[in-house]
Amino acid sequence: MRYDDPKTRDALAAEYALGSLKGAARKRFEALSSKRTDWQLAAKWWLSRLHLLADMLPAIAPREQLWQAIEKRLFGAKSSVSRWANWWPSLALVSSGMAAALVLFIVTSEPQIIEVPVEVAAKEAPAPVALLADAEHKAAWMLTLAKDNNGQPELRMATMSGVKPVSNKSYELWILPPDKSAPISVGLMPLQGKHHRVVSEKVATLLLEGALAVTLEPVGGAPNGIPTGKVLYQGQLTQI
Amino acid sequence: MLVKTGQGDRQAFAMLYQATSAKLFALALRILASRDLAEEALQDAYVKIWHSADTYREDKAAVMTWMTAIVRNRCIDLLRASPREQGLHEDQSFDDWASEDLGPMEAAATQSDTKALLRCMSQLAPKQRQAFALSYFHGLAHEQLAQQLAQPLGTVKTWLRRGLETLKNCMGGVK
Repeated sequence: MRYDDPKTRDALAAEYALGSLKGAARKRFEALSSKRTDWQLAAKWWLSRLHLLADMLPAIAPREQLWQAIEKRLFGAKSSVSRWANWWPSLALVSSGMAAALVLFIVTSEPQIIEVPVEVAAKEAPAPVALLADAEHKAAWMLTLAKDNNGQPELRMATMSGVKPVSNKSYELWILPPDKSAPISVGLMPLQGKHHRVVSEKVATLLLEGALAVTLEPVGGAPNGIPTGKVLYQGQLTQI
Repeated sequence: MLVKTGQGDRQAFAMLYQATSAKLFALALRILASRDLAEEALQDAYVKIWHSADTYREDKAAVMTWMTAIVRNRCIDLLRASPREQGLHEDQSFDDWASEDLGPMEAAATQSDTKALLRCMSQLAPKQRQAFALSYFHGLAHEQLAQQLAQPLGTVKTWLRRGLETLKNCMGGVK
């Protein structure tokens, strides 16, 4: 075989990346690429493209227990940092797919909904945005963390079509701190229209660092400042 | 994110898991067609990712390629070790890849490069796409492919070779 022929090299690299190159041929390819940069580059080029075949499958979230099993295997029994630790890994939704959906939403959404980040963008760097969505990726609220006229951090909430109507209950927003300590309430969520709320610098920082979750609570919010309902919507502030 | 994992940052690892596990679980499930085996493969893969992350420094797309490779390789090892390898399940014939309608794959794609690859793949014959899927998701070599697709060995080899050339020409233009 003429190993200096780029066509041969590319053909073998392609079948190596695809997985159809087997046995002795595969070993020969690996031996050659360990010595030759051009063969390595050809394999890398093909691997970076053919592994995109996996991106053509619709995402399927694994069971929550899988994350717990991985943590246990890596970090042992001490993995439960706090009793909130088990609450946290259920947030499998903040996925790359979700981020892509967020970008797509910003691009395709109607002008009146996108007006919030745009007016901020005119003055300064774009404000971080989050979509809070349910398990089916249906967005219920869009959040932006902006500054009010006095320079105070302000959380703006725009209600979207994904909010399920409730009676005699309230939706409450929580920050799940990265250190897995107890969730911090940020108050109730609107059921329609747009609302905004000035928050402290400390809460603003926490909003950016943590994951965000919405639970259904008794009217007026969780009585003891601890979430009682399960997470219905979740998201994370992202700089777009 | 991955760089932090290398420094032992468990929180970053948790976020990496959140961001990638659903796509990688879909891959494992597609290869192994069993939730139990797919979970086992994913568990092994993330343990390996945690331990190898400190050796890895690349851009985001390359990180996903790297993680996908780890998951796929682990799955194919498990597939070979399982008695099921004799024959594929009926629902694993990858007929959907032989379909003219690539819309569902386009809808699932999260990276712009994936959409570019799909546009190039639409230039292939349906059977060529099916051969690609069988090779990629099941690690089938030429002989097994020929058997699975009920085609002469020479035909299958030509499909793959020409198909990959088409992709190379199509994507080489993008590069």
